[in-house]
Amino acid sequence: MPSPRKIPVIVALGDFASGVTSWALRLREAFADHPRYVIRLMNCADTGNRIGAFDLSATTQARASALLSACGEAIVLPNFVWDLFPVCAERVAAGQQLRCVGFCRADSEEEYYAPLRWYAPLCNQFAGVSPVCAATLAEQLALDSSRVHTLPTGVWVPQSLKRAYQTAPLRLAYGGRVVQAQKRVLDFVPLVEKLYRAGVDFRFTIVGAGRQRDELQAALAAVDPDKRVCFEARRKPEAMAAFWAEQDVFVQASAFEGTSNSMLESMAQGAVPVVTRTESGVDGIVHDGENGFLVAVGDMDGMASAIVTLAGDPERLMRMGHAAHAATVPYSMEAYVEKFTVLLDAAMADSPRSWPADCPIVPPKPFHGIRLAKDDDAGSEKGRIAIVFPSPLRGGAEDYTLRIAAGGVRAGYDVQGAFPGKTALKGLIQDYFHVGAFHNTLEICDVGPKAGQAPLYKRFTRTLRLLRRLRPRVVLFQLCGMQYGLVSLFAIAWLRIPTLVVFQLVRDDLSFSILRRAIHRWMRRRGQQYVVVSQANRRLLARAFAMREEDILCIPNGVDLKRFANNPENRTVARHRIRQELGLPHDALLCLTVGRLSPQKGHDVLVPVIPHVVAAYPNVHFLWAGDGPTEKVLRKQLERYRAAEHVTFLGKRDDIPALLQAADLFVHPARFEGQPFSLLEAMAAGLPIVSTTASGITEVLDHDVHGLLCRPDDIGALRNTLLHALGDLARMADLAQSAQKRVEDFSGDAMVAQTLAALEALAERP
Amino acid sequence: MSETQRPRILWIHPGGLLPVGGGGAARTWALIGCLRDQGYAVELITGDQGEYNEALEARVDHLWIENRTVHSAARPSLKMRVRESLKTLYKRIDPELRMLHRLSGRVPLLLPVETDLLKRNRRRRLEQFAAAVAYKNPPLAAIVSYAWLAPVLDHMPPGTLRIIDTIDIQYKRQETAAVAGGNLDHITCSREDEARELGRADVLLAIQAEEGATLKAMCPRKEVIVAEHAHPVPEYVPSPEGSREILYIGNRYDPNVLGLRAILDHVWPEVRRACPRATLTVCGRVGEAFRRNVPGVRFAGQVPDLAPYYQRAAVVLNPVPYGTGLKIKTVEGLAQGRCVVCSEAGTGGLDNPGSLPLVVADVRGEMAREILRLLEAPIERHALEKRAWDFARTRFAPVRVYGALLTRLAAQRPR
Repeated sequence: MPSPRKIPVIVALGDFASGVTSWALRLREAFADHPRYVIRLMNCADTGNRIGAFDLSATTQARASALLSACGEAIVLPNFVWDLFPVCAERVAAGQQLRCVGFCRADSEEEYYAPLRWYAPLCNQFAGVSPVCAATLAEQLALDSSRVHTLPTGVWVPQSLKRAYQTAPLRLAYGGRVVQAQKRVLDFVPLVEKLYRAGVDFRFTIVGAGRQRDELQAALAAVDPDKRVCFEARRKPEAMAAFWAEQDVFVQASAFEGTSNSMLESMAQGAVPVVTRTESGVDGIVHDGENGFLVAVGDMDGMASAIVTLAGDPERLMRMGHAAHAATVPYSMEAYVEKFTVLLDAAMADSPRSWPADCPIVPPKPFHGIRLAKDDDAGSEKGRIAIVFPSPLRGGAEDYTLRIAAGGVRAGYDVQGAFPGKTALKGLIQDYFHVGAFHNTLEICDVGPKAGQAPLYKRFTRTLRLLRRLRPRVVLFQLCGMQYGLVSLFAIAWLRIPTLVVFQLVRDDLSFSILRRAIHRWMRRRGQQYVVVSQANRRLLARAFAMREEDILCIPNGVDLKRFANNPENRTVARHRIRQELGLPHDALLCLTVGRLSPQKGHDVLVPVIPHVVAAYPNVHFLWAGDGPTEKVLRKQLERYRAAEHVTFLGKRDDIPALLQAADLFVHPARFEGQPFSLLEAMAAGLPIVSTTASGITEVLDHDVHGLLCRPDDIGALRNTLLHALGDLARMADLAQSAQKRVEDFSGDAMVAQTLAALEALAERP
Repeated sequence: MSETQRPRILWIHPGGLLPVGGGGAARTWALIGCLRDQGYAVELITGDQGEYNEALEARVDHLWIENRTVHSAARPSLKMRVRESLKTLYKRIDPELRMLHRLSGRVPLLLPVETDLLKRNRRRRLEQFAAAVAYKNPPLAAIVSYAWLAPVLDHMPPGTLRIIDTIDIQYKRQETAAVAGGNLDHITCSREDEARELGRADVLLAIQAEEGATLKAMCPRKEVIVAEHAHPVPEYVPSPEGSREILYIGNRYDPNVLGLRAILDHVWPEVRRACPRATLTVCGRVGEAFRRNVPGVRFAGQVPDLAPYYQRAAVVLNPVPYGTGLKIKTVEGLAQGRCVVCSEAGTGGLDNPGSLPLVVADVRGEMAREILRLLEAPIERHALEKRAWDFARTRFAPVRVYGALLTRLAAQRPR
């Protein structure tokens, strides 16, 4: 007698190592012999299949639809792949027997509650990874308790604990994403500092990757002279059990959690959790002082003192380790399979739910999570725009593409970003999603430390492959530097796709060989139109390519004037907050510089000026917002000039408007420029400006009318100008006011409208 | 005064100080010597000068060498060898490049020749290096040689007295050359650019009074001090009575080349005809521009010590057709107690030519006759030599020449 067909349970997730991935892999293993259900893992992230253990793969809605269609009757757990819900709705509408389970994995409004509220009509059942998550879901969605299941993650729990503990050194470990947003990994810096101060003999292993890894590594290096902290790349999920068995303490500083997979995994192997008391995910699992320690979020004194206690009491360490192991028994995979089966059975007992006909299924703003491209064809009403750029870092030029993307989405285009998926660009990728655009990984970065490492043909084929797949109507190619991106441009020309090539930056000394000019001429004949952001750049570009100036479009950059407009109340608050945050006196005069830390921006020209400025005005402090390749060099240079204490490196900041409000002077020592966004933003914020006359700056600012300008790359001139400005701040405030009026001519909306019009005209060109 | 009490002066020089190949280097050593005699600790920051580093070290209180090459018996790396070969090659083809540049006129060249003097000679690494030295222990004053090193001063710590020893007024060099039929087209410098660079200093040193006035006009807000060349004056030893030796000293520089060419074309044949025993010794790199054998002329090249040449010489020549600054070879000839026969341009920067104890003569006119007269009349020659020596002893005494600078430095010292 043939065995009955098992119901496939499609679990959507991303192709990256995380707690969810390891949970999914365990789930599939645990369900291998299940009589009714079979777990199928679907990779929805376009990141090149790193894990390599998926059953299905779909990065577009069409592909997902086809896969679901082939599954027949099934249950779908979209997790955080929210775009899968509309696909399910479409399949249900087509008559397929699909049930959906809404899964809440963290106690977060933005990440889970809001999207689940939106897609609730499609969900047959709901699950929360902690009682808090489940209760909040039930409350917010006004659900019957029978439809909401509490399913803390399941882990493999060994029957008995056979392991050793040690306190010299005490082995601390953290496993998870190295990000500040949720995991607060930068709290480890004061923790390590305090452990050193307390004389604890420890070793701290951090396993994982994420946005703040480099930053954390750099910060820890400063407080860890004995190199007791080590970083490990991601480990495969199946290797983690062995890793945890060799650790004594699990530390976690998260601001919020669902139920931490790594915490449960580590506890199952006998590691003692010393974690923050999050709203969700610890209650009922960690009992303070019995099987672990709970401290308030951000309380690294408390965390350090708990670790000191464990380091000084090996017996307690062992006792608590065994108690931690015992506490995970209810979370064993065996128990989990039972609970999960109940959830699936409940879903199957319900009928497939269809989306209400009178409601739009597309949310007004995309939710956090993995996105699926709409389909393989340019399906939106105005067609598809691809925005391509070869930059590894986020700066003004990259944010420019975001504004165009947002404008394009608003105007009804399907906007597809195509740029490297580097760590430094993760935030931009998220922002692309937020504005309703998509990101496609295109590794064509030939700048920065890896310049020249990828063979040219790879950049060519990658660009060709992606654009063939996307089939955009028109491309916007943003060049951060004129010398980059030739190969990708060549690939686009090969495909004859109309392309607006935007030169955000043109160096004064730009020149090309005859061969390269000929290549560019050929590409222009195949539909490439050049755009510059200033008249100065237009002249330079025309000279470099030996072409007519009128054949180059000039669309000046613009800013969102409202976002940066100053407000006396906000200003007072921002001034106080920023000074307090940075530990600066209330009367400190802040000179702010915003821009990538690269030779182009001229921070190194400012360094020799600083000792002279602080000698004349001891209350001046310099703030440098932005990151970049020359940070180490600049730090060394500041040491050499004994100016390190007068400069604070702020790194990449999201609160530039607040910084502009808090500062007293904007210093922009650029060597060459297109038309810098940061300067326009400072103008919009009404901040007095000292800048250089580099390239297009003089088209925005007139010397002694809107600010003070000096020769670029001239230390003496910058010193004199800065001293002059600080000596007459009242006059500078007058200049700032006129600059604020002037910047009204450079609105972001106008820039976006002109760019979209240029794209449209190019697409329409015969 | 102990070492720690001596006020420090950083002297930043681009290089080529030893062997002394030109007036600029000679002047720098004279000033450094004077400052050390006056109790200042002079620390020299310069580029690597290989085998001469030790000799340099002996002449200053501390030597800081930027990008010092480690000299060892081991074979240098391939990269170093290629670099050195290219440098040597470039030096060799330099005149040809200049020639091509001259021929090409204003047509953009394929050859990467930077003619802007201030850009071409800027030394960014030296600037960084000087900053590192200065911030370790801030000096009383920093002096840079030549306007193109002025950016170094921007890197000095607050409170440092910033001085440029201009040596020449750069923008005038090309102008003067054009007027005199010379060619310095390979170096360009505008008045505005030079004034901007000079503006980086607190004090400008002019090598002669007229240039002092020009500098004041260029940078009215800056303090200008005239500090001519103070040459050490040895004991007077008359030239050998029977000496028929004529001495010409010059670096490879257009006015020197033109001057020597004029001597060889117009003066030397006549001198040799009248006095076959006469010999002309040419010291310095100027000889590299002449690839022919001329009877009676010996090209000695760059020599480690000029004293023996001066001792043997009966007459010292300075026939330059043009030039700016101070004619240091004229000053040297006088200080050595020798008869100097020079062109009018050869007295540039000195007092009224008529009041000087030397012979001014036109190369194409009476110069040959004047030389012959001095060679043939030892009594008259010795009298002129003695007058020259007496003049130099008082006129070029360091305290007189550098007095104003020393006063300024003293005012800068903390009380």
